[in-house]
Amino acid sequence: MSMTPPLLSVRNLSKSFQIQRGLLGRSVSRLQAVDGVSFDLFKGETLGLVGESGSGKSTLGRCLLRLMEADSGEVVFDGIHLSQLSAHEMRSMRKRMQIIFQDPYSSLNPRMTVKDILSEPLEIHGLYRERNLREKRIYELLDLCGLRRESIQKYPHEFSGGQRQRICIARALAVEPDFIVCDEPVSALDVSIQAQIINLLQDLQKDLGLTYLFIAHDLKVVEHISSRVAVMYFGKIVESADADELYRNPKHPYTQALLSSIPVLDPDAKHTKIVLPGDPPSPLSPPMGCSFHKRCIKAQAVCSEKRPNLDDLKVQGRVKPHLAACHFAK
Amino acid sequence: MSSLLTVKGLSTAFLADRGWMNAVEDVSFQVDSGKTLCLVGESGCGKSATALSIMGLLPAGNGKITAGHIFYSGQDLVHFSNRKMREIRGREIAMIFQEPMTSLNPVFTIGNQVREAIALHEDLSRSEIRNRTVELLKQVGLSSPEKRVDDYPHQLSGGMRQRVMIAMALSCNPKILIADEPTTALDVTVQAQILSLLKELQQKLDMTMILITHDLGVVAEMAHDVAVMYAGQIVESGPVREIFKNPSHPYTRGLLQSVPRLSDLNSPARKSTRLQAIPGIVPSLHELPQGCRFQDRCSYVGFDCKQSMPALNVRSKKSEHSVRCLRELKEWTP
Repeated sequence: MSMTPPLLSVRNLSKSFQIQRGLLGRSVSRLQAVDGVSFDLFKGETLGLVGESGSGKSTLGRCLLRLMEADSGEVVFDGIHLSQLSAHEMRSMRKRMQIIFQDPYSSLNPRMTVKDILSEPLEIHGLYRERNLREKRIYELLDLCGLRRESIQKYPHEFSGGQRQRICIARALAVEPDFIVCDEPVSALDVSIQAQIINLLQDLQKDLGLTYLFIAHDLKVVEHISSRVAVMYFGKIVESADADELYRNPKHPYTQALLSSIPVLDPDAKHTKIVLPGDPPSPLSPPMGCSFHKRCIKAQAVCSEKRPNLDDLKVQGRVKPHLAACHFAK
Repeated sequence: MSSLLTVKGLSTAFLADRGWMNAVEDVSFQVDSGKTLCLVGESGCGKSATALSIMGLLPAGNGKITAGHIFYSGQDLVHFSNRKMREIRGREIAMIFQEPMTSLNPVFTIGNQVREAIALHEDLSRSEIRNRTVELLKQVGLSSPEKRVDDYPHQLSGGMRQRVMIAMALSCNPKILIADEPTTALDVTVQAQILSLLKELQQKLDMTMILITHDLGVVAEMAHDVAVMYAGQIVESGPVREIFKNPSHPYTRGLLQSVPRLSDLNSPARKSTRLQAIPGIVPSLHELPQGCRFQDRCSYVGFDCKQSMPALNVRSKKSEHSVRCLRELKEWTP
């Protein structure tokens, strides 16, 4: 492992939601959205987090910034235990941790001009208090994110989806964060615009030394942008490794199925797809043992009894760990 | 191969703030019997409007076909009355939509909704209808269909709802199935299930399909023929291999280049770190430039492109590969 301490360290993070069912909301069941997740994130790195809808990726992202309070577990950011901070302290911590959301339509206030939108974070954190300096900073941000300077007086509805996502990125960058959670930042955009935003995020990372947690369900985009990738299924990380290694040499049967289902841009491609049987199990009644065993082609008796640990497979020739949670992964 | 559906010079307009606006302009294509045609393009390019025009489902008062013909087995559907169209819809041409949640009625069981589709077109007894419903649900791969018929849409997952939609569409053995982004709202493993189901059904029932999608991976997997749309027009069309191996319109090339490719398992290193994005944005239908509609985003643009609209010309007679571009581009290397 690297000698430098990680920028962000997550240990055993869990989050569940209460679901009320039945009349009078009497029978209460819990939905385990994030279930004992641990990982490290180093400075300047992009960790891609993939998984299907409902796998808990977004909940995890929100728990990191304490936009949602986790039930248990630790998030350590640059040596600081976030769960011990007061709400006020946490707010100033968010100067260093920002988030970009999926939907650039609902995450911008329609009644605010671009100037207001970009001034707000500066105001909250008491940055660039002087009027001239603040204006200068806003122009800087617009330049940085490839928006025209005239945009400053416009309202969100005057922009296209891609441009709005640029505004969201500019807003996140306004306070000069070290770490940004990108929660499906391009999934609402058309393909030709997606590429523009991905390039922008990569340029910004290079220029400003940013660290990303990149949450997405598009496996092609994640491979492109990430240095490391973690796969979530049912609230747990089931596999994680360097992007290269994970995509070339997937070890968990779920990752294998996921990668094989991506449609390839070649009409002559003759790859065998692993079509998973059935639907993901209901999160309200999680199966015993490995949560994937009911859809898994390799499942044996042990899989329905014992939950596999996320262990390093010690893959030959790999310095960095390749973790997988499967009884049969080698 | 005979063409089952031929669209000729179709233009469809919608009423917007500033008057009627052409969302589809001069679109022509044909779908051969038993084959799949994919309409590809980004949001607002007119692919769904084309499908709604074929189905006769344009919003009354707000949408209308302004020119062109839609020939289905020798008849021009454009001139069909509502009543005549109702006989075509479902029985001859059926359609499934992107969002299976909003296309199903939440207050009726799925069995009820599939039964309705059958009862509308076929003269069967109640028990016959019930049997046919179960049979249809089984055909689309719904597990224990005898029990599922009494479920409500909210009790099903997204993938299962889309299966129900497909069952409804197939209820009267249509000749043509139009699928408008059928897997866009679904996860990739469920998408794989639905796509393989559609392929299987097509072969079994000898069905003709028009698949509308923005995902070029889905196109490569499903299509026999492809039409690429941009700002209301077809800019390139041809057999699927031609489109992917020899894309000849700058927009098609741009689309193919802006999608990250999974690294080849056999190649030693990861591919280039930068995507080749298409600069700029799609022009608004209100402010279309004179000449080629892709001119502002095109790296091959010249004075001639701004003079007049390039025609959709056949490039290769042998394979019917047509391109709407004045330039003869260099050979394609992905």
